[in-house]
Amino acid sequence: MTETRTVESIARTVVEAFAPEELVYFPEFIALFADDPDSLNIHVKGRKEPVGFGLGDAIAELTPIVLAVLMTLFTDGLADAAKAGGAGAWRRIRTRLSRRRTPPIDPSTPVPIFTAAEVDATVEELSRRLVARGQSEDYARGAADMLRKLLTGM
Amino acid sequence: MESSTSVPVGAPRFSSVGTTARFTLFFGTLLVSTIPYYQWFAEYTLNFLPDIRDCQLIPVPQVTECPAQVNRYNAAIESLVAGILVIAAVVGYLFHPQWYLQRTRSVPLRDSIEFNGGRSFNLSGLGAEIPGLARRAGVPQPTFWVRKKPQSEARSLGWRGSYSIVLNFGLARLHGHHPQVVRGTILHELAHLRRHDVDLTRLALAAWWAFVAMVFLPLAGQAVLQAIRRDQARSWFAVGQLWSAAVLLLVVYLALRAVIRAREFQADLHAAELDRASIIAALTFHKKRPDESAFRRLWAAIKEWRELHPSALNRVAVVNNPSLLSKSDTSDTFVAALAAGLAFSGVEVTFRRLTNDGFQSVALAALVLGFLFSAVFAAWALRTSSSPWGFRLAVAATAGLLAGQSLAWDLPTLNVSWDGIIRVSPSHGLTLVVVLLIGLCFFTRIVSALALLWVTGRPTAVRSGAILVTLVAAGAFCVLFTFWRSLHNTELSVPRLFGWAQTSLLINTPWLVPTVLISAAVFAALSGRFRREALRNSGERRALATVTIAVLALSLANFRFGGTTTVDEPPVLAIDFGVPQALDLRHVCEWLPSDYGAALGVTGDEAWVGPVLARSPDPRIAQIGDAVVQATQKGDTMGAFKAMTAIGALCIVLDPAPAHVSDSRRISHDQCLVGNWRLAEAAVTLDFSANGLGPVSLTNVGGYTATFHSDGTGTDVRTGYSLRGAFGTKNVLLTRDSDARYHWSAGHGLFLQRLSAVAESSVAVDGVTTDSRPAKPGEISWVAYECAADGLIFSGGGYVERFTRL
Repeated sequence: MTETRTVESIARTVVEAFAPEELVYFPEFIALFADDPDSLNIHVKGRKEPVGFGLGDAIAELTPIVLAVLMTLFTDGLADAAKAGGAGAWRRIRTRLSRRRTPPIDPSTPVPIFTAAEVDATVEELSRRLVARGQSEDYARGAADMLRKLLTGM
Repeated sequence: MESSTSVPVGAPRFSSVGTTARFTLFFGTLLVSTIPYYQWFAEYTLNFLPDIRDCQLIPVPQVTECPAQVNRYNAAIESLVAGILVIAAVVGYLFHPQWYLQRTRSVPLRDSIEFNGGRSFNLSGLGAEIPGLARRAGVPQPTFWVRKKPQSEARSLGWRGSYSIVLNFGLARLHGHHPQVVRGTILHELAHLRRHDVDLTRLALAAWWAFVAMVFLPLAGQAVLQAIRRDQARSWFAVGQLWSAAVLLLVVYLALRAVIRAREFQADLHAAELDRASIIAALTFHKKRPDESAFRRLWAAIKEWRELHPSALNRVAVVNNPSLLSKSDTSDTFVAALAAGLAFSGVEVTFRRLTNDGFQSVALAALVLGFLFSAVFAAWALRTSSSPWGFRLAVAATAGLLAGQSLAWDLPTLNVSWDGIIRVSPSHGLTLVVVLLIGLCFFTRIVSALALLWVTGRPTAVRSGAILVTLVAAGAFCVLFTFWRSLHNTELSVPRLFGWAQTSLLINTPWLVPTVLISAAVFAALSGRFRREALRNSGERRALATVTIAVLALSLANFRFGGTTTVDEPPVLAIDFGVPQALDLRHVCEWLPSDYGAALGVTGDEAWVGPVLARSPDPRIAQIGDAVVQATQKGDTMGAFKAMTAIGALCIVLDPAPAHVSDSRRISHDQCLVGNWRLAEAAVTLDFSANGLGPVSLTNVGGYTATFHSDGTGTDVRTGYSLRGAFGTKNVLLTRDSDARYHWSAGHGLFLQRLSAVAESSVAVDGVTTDSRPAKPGEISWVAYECAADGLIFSGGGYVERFTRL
């Protein structure tokens, strides 16, 4: 990998490989990421609006998840990203209560080198979210492995 | 995109089906579930009922310490909090749209939308299509907003005249690639606006949150507080309260769920009338992957119960076959029945406070709950024009009603212990269940028949028909519930059902027969336009005819055989029957159950407690006993209740930890009485005003043998026994020649007797029998006594009986 690695390029590479049909909406997701990164955190257990259509899932599946885990890696503190389970849940609760918004991120920002623990936590999170959305273990593992390679530059 | 004031055109013809029953179910459930709560709440606030901890009711000045210092200000504070919550709910309802738009940072829909970093997207195609969609839907165009979220979701906001629709950015951008999906979604939202779902759903949600905040949370908090105090008795009470509260919450939530899901189905159907392909496309756009494991599939099915929105699969099924929505639903049936069962006793107690009449309170409570049932099922029956109930749904309703009664507020005066009934008398429990099951099946057939009469030949008159059929059908359900509840209260045996039914329903309820007849006449007049041939030889016609004949037969039977109702077993008493061995405060407090005050106030069957207490050597207890005696003699139930509450306060203040454990060994059976006795002399003065006479002094003709066993049972063998007297020139003969079996207790100079079997007596004036006076099992009488080795004397107001030992 000789080109400059950015959030946008990493996400596009993963989506190209594992969900090419989602590329048509990729600019929309990048715009949302730049505007309000929190909007990409789509929880599986999210409640439906009482007077809404009620079936509205994301128009793409892999793209927002990849961008969301990268957002977590970048903005929520590298130390927090390495934490698993309860700490993550507590962080979500705290964020929800405090209504803190993640500051906008420029998707063209070059990606620095992360520690092995941070990368591990990020790819595990990606794999977990994909499985939670109903993807197969193999699919999730493949996407996670590719993300790992892109993040470590190896 | 700003809203316009264009007049809607092309409004689709759409018959409103499906939600009336669910809304009725929801608000009915909410109402009847909260009545018991607010009944007690109002009684605390208004001092309607005395609180057991209220020291003002203690009649003895020596008591200076109050047990819990409960005062009315606490209730006032709760009222204030409740008022604030109501205001908050109203404010939330009014300002929700504004708050939502600000919170989600939604922006008005324009031709293009801007993002950070200079990115913009064209939405002009969507904006151009919206006015046409609004016209097709027949609604003024609302204001459209865009929320920057990737989901293809939309929702409606606002209130009548000021509606908004918020589209997610993901949905808006989907228009370029899948316009049909976007069209279907927007038509669904416009259908919500046309049907005023936004207002009604928000209202239902506001009611739900108000219910949670004002009923469930205080109840749960109170229960937790009692559990923390580690009072064993109150902890169990708290567990019961929590359990009841949880059931209450579940029932109301299920009713809310039924409302919202029905609204969604209706919006889909409405949209399908305009553009079927688009709504199908919107519903099927996101294809869920089938869960691989059985556990996940099961979990998904369980989660479906939690969801307020129906699944895409169900929605597509309803769009393809709208008649599915008209069919009755087992879960809705169960919810309606559970709510009715939960609330029955509470509503009944409330009416008893107002009417001070046990039977009328049962009938009025049955009428309220009958409306709930009939509104739900009449709506279904009207739509399907057939019986909404099969046996499966009748079972669900029966189960719901029984479960609701068992899970009602954990107060002995409010809930019905079904496990107790089944344990003590399985056959009686089974009888009650079968009566209810058959009754529900039968009366819902009547609802169906009424619905069929109404809809035949008039396909559009659903709403007015629903009101009429509901009103008439409520009477039928009222009869069923009244009969069933009274059946339970009196614990009738099966062979006596018929006699009880005709006596209680047709004599004791004078308003019932005219009401049924007037309702039938009104219905017949209004339904004169239906086609009679449609009913010829139908099951509904036969059901109506059967009911009519049954009512007439019962009426005739009543005139011929009325007044002979008897039962075999006495009802269970709230207080251990008998005179306690000791009548000091500690023993009295142990003898009385902890809830005796409420039991006395509600049932009014424990008037004999007053004379017992009046014999206490403790002047405070004796004073309260005298108060109970005086109140019961005047028929002042509330006075008796207040006096009994006072003794509860005494028990708590002076004996803070009474055992309150029922133990029949504490009951006194004066061994002096045990043995066989022969009546030697009797002189009784009785009032024969009912026979056209007045007070008559009677003396015995012959005697009878009384046997008192040491286990507290007794028998009178009274063959040929009678009493004779005269009123002026008329001879009066009171014949009491049927044997009597009873339980007895004697101590402190007071003799108590509770009949176990029927003791008949009859009155003859100048040789002509004019009256028959059956004494019912469970009937309790009391009299003073003096016992010696060879003689026994019972004496009371105008009553003396002298016995010699055999």
